[in-house]
Amino acid sequence: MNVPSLQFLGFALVGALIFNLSGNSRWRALTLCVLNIAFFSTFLRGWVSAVPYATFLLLGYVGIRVLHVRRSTTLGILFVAATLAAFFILKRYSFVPEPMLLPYWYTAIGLSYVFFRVLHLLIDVSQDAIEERIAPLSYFNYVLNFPALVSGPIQRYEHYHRSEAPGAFPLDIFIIGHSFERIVGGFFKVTVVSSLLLMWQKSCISHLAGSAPLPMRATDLALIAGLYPLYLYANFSGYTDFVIGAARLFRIELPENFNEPFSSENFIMFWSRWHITLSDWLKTYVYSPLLLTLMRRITVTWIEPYLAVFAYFVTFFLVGAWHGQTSMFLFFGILQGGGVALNKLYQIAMTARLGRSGYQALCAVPAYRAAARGLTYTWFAFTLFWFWSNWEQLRLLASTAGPAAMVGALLLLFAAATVLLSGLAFAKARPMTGTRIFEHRYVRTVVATSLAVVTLAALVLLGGTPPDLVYKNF
Amino acid sequence: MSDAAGQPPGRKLPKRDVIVLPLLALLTVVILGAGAELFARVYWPEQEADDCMIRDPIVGSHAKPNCTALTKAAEGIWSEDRWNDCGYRALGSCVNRTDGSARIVAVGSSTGWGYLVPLEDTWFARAASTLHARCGREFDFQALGGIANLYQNMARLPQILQLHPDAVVMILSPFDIAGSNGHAFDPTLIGQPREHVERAGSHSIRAQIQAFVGASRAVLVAQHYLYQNVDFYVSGYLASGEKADYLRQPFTPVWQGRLAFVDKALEYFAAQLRSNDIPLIVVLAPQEAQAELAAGLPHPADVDPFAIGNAMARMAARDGFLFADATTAYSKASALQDMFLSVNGHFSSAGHAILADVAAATLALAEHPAGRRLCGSDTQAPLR
Repeated sequence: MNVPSLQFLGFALVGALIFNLSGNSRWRALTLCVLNIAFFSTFLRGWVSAVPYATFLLLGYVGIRVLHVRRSTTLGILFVAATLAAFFILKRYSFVPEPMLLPYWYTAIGLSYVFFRVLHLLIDVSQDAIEERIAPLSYFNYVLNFPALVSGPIQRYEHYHRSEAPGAFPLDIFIIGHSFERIVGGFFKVTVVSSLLLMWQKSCISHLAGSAPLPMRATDLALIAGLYPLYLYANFSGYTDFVIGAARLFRIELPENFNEPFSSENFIMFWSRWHITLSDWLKTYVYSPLLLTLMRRITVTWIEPYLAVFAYFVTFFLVGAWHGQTSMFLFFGILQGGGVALNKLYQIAMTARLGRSGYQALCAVPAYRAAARGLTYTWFAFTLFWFWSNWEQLRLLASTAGPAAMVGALLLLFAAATVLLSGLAFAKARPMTGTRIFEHRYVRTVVATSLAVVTLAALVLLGGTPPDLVYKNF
Repeated sequence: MSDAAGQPPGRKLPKRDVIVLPLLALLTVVILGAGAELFARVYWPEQEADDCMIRDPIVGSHAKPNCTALTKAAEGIWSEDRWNDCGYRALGSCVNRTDGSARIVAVGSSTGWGYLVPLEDTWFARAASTLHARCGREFDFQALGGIANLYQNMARLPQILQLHPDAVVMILSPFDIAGSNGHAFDPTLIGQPREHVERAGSHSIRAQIQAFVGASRAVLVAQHYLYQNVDFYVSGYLASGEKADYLRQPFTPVWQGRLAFVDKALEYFAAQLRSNDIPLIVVLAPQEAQAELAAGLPHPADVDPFAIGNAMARMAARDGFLFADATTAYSKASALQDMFLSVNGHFSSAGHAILADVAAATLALAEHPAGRRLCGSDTQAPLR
């Protein structure tokens, strides 16, 4: 079952109706369990195709139970290592020896996201951060929570567990209305906005010709690079809006994954606003422990700031590399880690040169902020070449455009991003008179209905199938 | 609706909003629907009725002589239908004929006279050009035009003979065959006036909704794009009832009856023409779904896109007419969807080009006496 889709929406609405028939916690947990199984089963081809996934979940639960009874660092490391190994095997990473791979088709839908949930439980239970015993039903409903199964967001167990308490996250007509708004808005972003942006980007790829004049090649290449982040944002944030809205009908508050990422004024800030639950997870379980360990072992004072640079590099290298199993994604990881590390180095250098207050004053200069936003966007767009293409496509694009057009494209993209994002920031900071009318429920009803109609029409034009979700593949 | 966050507990929706909000939503849908319809009508204009056509109780309908009309399917391009001095669609007059030219009369359904396609793009205009290049003589096609069933086509035999044709080409599609009622063919009914029966309008709500939706241009546009998804289109076509059963084997009794009717009708028509030394060439023009299936789209085991063509080939061998199934030619075409006006069902200009190739190849068939006479070694001899 695709998410988002009308089929999924119908499934979730009927499910929510049944779920909310009774306020009994047991009823709700069992209903959610049935729905999770029903949704998961739509990705199966016979029960055998569920066995590896089920084994992975069982391994996680056994680890949690064992660690709950006997908290031990060694055991914790053992279970984390076993979970990592199982994950790499099931995801068929290229470095896993062929004989270790399972020789038949099985589902791995949303396994990357489930992996983060399981790992989080194992680590937190082993470190006493989660003290209570996790019941099997609670574990199952948490790791396999159907609205967030396919592409997250990665919710922490404590947050999920809160929704299991009687009376938690009540529903009323306002919340239901708000949930529907998010569902419709998300569906619209995925179906209409992201489709149009992808079509535009693809047409630019087709249009790019080696025989075209330099300005045209540079413009085409700038559009190819610059449109993809917008497409990815519409696609993934649309999905996130959709599932957050759907989950709320089950009295579950999923965490946000995006917070105006393109208004970020540096790359470190960008990664705290883009795919927030993933970067938060890695900051918690990779960055912080790594930095602490390094600081404990290396006590030279002057080197301390550079330890953070290294920890940032490792963390965001993993963020990038997590996206796929090919060398493209490893390079994508290097560019993410490299970008964040360079950003940190720059901050250290500027603070040393201007002093903390001097650097802060510079960061407050409007022109500097605008250029920083443009540079952040341009860097992210540039790194995404290793996200959406392959080496052969990259070679073809580079040879068609030529070095001059590539440099021109980056400059053009930087200039355009700087101007457009500044315009956006300016408009946001000074809302026009009368725009508050858009917050009125009557206007919001009209807008949401219009988006729903346009989305339905777009679905018809797309042959009933919504566009694919990029992050479903990770 | 309001923000979920920051609302005081126990908040209530004002009572009037229970009515106002759904009404607003409904009004939005109506306004957007009307806007979409207006947009579709402006950018997808349609003129399917040919103003030159007049209804005739004997031959169905035919065009007024020396008349010009404009037609357009919503999915297609504007076409100027110029009807000649006999009321036929042709590149030239029906009266004047170049010495040594071969005259072909085109009969059959709307595809036969290139309905909704500009004259120069029609299968017969293209075939004339191809045959001229191949055979070194002029080919003068006269498409009788009009909307007619097989009885009504045969009622035009005197008009056909008046044209002194060297061959008659009939274009038939499964859609045309589905129009035959399945009764036994009775030659005494040819030339008998048939009352035009207006379809009684159904007053059921479902029928009215269907009629309303069917008349909507916005729905047509949506269908057009929906049909770009070939899997969706073909599976929908296969599930569209008995009209698609010509694709299934064995043929249903209804389709067996229809094919038996066509068999007898063509046998009779071919014999009539043969007695006047005129060969009959029948070309089967496939439906879009049939062509897609023939092109290799996966399908259930009982579906055979070539079954109807094979059945007609057997008829041809029995009944003495020359037959060509254009299904294979379409199945090999690239961008098959561009060959058809998907919702309307007729061929586009590109689709006519393929039909022209099949018709021209059949007319110039060296292995057949008709082909030899039209384009072979006998060509140099005067045709009459």
